[in-house]
Amino acid sequence: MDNQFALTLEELPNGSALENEKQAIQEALAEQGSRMARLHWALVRDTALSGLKKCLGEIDPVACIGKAWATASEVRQLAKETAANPGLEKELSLAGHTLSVELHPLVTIHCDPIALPTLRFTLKLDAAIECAVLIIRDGKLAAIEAAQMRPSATLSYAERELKTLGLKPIDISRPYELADGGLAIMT
Amino acid sequence: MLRRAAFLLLTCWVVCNAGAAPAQSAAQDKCSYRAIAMAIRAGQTPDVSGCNPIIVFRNLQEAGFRPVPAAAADANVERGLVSHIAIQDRAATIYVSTGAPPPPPTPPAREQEAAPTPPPPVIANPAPAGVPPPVVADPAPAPGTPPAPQPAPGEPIVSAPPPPAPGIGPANPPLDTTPIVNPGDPALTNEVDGANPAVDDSEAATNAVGDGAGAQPPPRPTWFERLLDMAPWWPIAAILSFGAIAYAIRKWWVPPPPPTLYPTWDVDPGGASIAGKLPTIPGWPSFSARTAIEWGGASLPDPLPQAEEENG
Repeated sequence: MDNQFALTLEELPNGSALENEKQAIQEALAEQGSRMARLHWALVRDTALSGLKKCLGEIDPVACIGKAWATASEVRQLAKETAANPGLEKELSLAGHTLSVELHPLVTIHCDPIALPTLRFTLKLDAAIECAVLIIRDGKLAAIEAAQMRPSATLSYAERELKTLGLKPIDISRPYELADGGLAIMT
Repeated sequence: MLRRAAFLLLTCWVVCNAGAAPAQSAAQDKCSYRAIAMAIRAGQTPDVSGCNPIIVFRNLQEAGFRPVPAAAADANVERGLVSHIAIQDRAATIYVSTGAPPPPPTPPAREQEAAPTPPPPVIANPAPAGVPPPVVADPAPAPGTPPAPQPAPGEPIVSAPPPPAPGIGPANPPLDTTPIVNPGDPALTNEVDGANPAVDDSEAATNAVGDGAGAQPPPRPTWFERLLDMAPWWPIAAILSFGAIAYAIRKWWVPPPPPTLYPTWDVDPGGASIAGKLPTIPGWPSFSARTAIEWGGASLPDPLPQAEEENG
């Protein structure tokens, strides 16, 4: 399903942010003895930035928040009940709360036939939820409706914050169906 | 190329204008009007020995003198050139060398006794009416005879021929009484024109500077003077020839300098990129990135705050 809220994290990384962490990134890429990052820093930086943008551009913030809800014990209980009864749909109305999701974009730079050590970034999604209704069906978090949330994203590398981006508020009224029939919930 | 040609022509012009100056030797400088005028101004008699009498004559005229040529035997000066000059008031006498004086003839005493009184000299060119009679020079004046008066400026001069060798020709040949003409002197020129219109200034002057034997050839100019007279443009030809020779030497014998190589570049404003069609250069770094996302966990309140029934 397309990201109908036009929320994209592709603009989160930029060249200056990586340039600030030049020394740390070069040290990480030189762990296996390769001098590629020092000799061709501009190429390495641009390649890493390109991969990072592509990676973050594929992230759906709403789906990430749904994954966070899927870890809650109440949601897992409802998923177990619906999984046993196909066609049964359960709803869970949530009041205001906050949650955060941590993701790690992994960028591996290849200079054939050499593969440099993987750069591990950290993306932290924070969301202030005012209200939300979760729809669980067939043991999956199938849709979200009547939700109002205000997300923000922070990209960091090696415990150093690179950039924080405040996303526009999400206001979901009609059911927002998640991709592939919903998020699988571990029961 | 045009600039070089203009510079060449300018150089030729300068050389042509200045060509006469270096051509004059130091010996000829003393014949110039400037040297003569400076010497006269200093109260000295100009040293013009060895100079061309015509040049000295004209220079003295320009200096305000009335020059009169006269013959003088001088073994130290070449025949036909100026031996010395004498200046008195505004009159100047130019003594033209006749070479070494001939040895005096020694006729036998008997012939001297028998020789009658020589007849008066025959005037070759009698002066017209109104012109004072020329002075007749007696080659062998009688004892007690006063010497021949010096010709006044403007008066014709009669020169006597040297005595002939014994036994050759008449014993008393007629004297050449051709009036001596000062070139540029109007009075004398008129007199000569009236007496013998066929005689021009130069001829008259030549006769004047001779030793009395008739018309003398003008002093022979040096090869440089002849070259200047015949081809005053010779420096131009010399420079052009020299330039042509130098160009030929440089063209055929001097190797050309190595060509100057320089790169040029341009930016294609909107052409199709051909980067994808270029073959891969071995060893050239070709970077690419592969990405993945790792779940790092989530934190949310436990239990989740559920909305109350009545609020929904």
